[in-house]
Amino acid sequence: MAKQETILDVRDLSVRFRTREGVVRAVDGVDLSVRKGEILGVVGESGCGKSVTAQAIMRLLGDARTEEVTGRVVLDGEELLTKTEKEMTRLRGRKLAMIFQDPMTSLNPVFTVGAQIAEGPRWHERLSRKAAGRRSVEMLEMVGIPSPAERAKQYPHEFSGGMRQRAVVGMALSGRPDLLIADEPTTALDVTIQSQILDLLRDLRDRTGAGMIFITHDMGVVAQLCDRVAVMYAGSIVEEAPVKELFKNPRHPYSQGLLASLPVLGSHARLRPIEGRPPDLMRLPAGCRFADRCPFAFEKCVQRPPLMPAGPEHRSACWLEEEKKDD
Amino acid sequence: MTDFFFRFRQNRLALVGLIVILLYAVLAVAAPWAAPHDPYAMSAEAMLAEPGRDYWLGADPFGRDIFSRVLYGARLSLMVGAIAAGIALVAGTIMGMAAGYFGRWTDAVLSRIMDVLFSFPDILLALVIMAILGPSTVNVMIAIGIVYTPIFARIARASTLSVKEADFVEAAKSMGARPMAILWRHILPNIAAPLIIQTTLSFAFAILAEAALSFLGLGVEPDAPSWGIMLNEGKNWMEQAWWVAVIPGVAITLAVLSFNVLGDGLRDALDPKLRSKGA
Amino acid sequence: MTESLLEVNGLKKYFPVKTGFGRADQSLKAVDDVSFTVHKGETLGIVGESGCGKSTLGRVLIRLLDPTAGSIRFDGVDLLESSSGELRRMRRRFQMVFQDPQSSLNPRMTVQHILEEPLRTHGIRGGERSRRVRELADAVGLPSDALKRYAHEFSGGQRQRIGIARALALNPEFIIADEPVAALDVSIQAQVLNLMMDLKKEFGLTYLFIAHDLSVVEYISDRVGVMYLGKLVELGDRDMIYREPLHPYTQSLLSAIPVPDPEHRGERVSLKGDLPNPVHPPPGCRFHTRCPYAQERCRGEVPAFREIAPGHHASCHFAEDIREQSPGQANSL
Repeated sequence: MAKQETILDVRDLSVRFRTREGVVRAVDGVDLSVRKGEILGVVGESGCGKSVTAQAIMRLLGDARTEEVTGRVVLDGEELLTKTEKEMTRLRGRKLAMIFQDPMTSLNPVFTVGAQIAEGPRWHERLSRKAAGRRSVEMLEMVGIPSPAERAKQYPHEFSGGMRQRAVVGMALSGRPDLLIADEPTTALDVTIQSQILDLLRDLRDRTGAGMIFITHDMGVVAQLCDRVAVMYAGSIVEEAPVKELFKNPRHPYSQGLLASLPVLGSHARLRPIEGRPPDLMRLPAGCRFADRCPFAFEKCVQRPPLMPAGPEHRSACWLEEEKKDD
Repeated sequence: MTDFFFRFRQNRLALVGLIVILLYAVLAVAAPWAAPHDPYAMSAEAMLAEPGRDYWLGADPFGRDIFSRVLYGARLSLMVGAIAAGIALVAGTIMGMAAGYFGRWTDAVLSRIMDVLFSFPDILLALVIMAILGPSTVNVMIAIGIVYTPIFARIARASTLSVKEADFVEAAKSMGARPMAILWRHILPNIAAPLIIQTTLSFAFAILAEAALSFLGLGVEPDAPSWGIMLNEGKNWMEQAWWVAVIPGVAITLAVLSFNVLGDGLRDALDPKLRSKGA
Repeated sequence: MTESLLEVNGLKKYFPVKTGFGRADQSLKAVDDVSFTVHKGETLGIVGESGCGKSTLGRVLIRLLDPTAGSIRFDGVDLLESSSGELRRMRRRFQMVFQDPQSSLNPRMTVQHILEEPLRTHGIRGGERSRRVRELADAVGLPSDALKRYAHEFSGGQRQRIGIARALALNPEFIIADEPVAALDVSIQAQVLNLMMDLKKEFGLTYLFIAHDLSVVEYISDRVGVMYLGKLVELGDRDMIYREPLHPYTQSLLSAIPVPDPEHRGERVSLKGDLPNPVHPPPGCRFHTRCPYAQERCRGEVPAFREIAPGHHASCHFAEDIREQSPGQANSL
């Protein structure tokens, strides 16, 4: 498992938005990698840059006047950031695909679900209408929609919320992509439906061997679905570890705070929230961005900590790691 | 609010419109002192005098000074515009908010009345009302006010419908606030922007409508210095004395244009969501 | 026995649904024959998924919506029978905290005005009013310069503090909170939950806490009610509900929670299919279309909402069997 081939490699990715009030550093020097058949969880609170990171990888941030994307995004040996829009159009759907939060707005209400799933294969693989139709039924079956042939002829409004999200997953997988990015795909769903979709995603990963980036704010979902986790805070990754390691042994004070803020079933201990709130992305401190909320902050924290080794495959951007090493 | 001024200042055209309107307003207020002649005084010698030293913008067929009449005309136009737009704003907002907030039969009755008024062409409706009321300055203001009430009522109703669903309105209700307090303190401030924009635009329409009614002889008293009456008097003399018609025409155009660009500028500044790419 | 503050009996709220040509009007039974009691000083949590009617229930209780049938007694006074003047006086005693702190605060008002409004509405003026406003800001931990600012200048968590302060303005005894932390990030959510618990102790409040997040409800509640398709299907002490759920729906809800522990692989009671259309709820037990234990009887006979164990109600024909089969279900959780 550990020696699996890397499918996506992101180095020093930064996204800046120019606004009238100033420059927003939404993503600042993010490094990530995803292996084949691996689910990488990217977890963080609103405004931490997790969704912007996904959009940058998909090259969905286009407006050069207001958005500046730098760094490297290498998918299966190909650099994505230097690709033209035309080249990206050929890649999207075939090499990498994305699932969004709201299943309703990701489907066009005036076309049948089958036609929408067939669109990608018809375009990318030049499949005939018939073959593409067969593919869409195959996809609906794969995502667990009963009587897929009939369902393919229906319109999105005839699907329930959970079914719609299944169809969206089917659509994303119809081009057999190597990488699937899912941006909060279960946030709009009820828990019972969410657990069905999580089961589905886990099952699909096993069957297709695609790599997956799963973006969420929900630590519970991360624990149940992901293999590895990157915790983001104020535009940067602050901790990265295999999922069991992160929950058993969280090293960064922000990850620790996040876990302590979470009500856990069966425990009625008083929650220990992180005091204060995240910094303004327009006025980021020069040093550690978590320092002003951190219970362990010390002199060294006026410098920005890089990700430092904190265990096997475990890295944390905190000066405490250096202290521990010195001891 | 600072955001509003920032966005408004960026729109040069709207700023020019505002300046022109302020200029009109100053001239209108200062007319008794600024006018070189009595706007009503006729003079046989000055009949159709060309623009020159004595009569800066010439004189009309009755020998009255056109510049002075344009100044007094500004007074009349702005007053008619302000009061007519004011009548429409107040009446339309009250009816629209009542219809939107209370719904049911209140809405059914008020909305049907507005639909009927809306189904007439503006100027035709104004003519009918003037024919019933008879020509006078006050009646012109009332007629134009009635004509533009439905626009305000529709805007107020639609905005009220969306604002009344907001949680803060429910919060106020759950604290026991009475409907009047909710309408006044919660709904009105949140629907003000589109109403302000419409007031500015209606101002322009009202000036135009007054001129049109007066031109047709169903407006203000016939000897009043109205731009519309001046235009009417000048139209027969276009070949001999172009200035008699052109000068009030320019005055009307400039005023209407200024109010329109100001209205557009206000819309862009107050409601960035409505902003078009070209602006 | 604890004193009851709110007694709800046979409460129904139906919304008319227009079908096509205005004929054959049907109704959406958002709340359908719900009865329960809230005791003084407790927090009763109401959980359920979207469309179960929990928010409608809150809005009917606060009297933002008129119920179709049933009775609501607050401290012995029937709220549906009382005159509008009486109702206005009663309003001081129960208040609401809304889900979206963004839309529940008027964007054109400063925090000062927002907090003054309930006081103004109930005729408190002058020095007493401004003193009370400062007290409230203090109580919920708003910074001292907050009063002059507008709500949109604050972060989500601060806004919810303003919403809570407003609800506390008239010294109510009872607060209905509709998803008060659903829109907040976890670290901020914990701050607001702790604040609500502290305020409850400080002011002797009683809460009805409506939420979809079972972990949050478990954290804050003393007793918990579970709703499904407009019905209350289970009600009992928190630990009974979470350790020994008697209704299959509660069981499946609990097993669907993603537990923040990767080592945990609980046994799933997974539900079949999706929520039925609430305009045409299934006959018999409303849950039978998705229930793993459903039998012929469930299709025809509506299960009564009965007391299965002391203080533990559920509406399932087989609640006793379920109870015997899975003692200490929580241990496997």
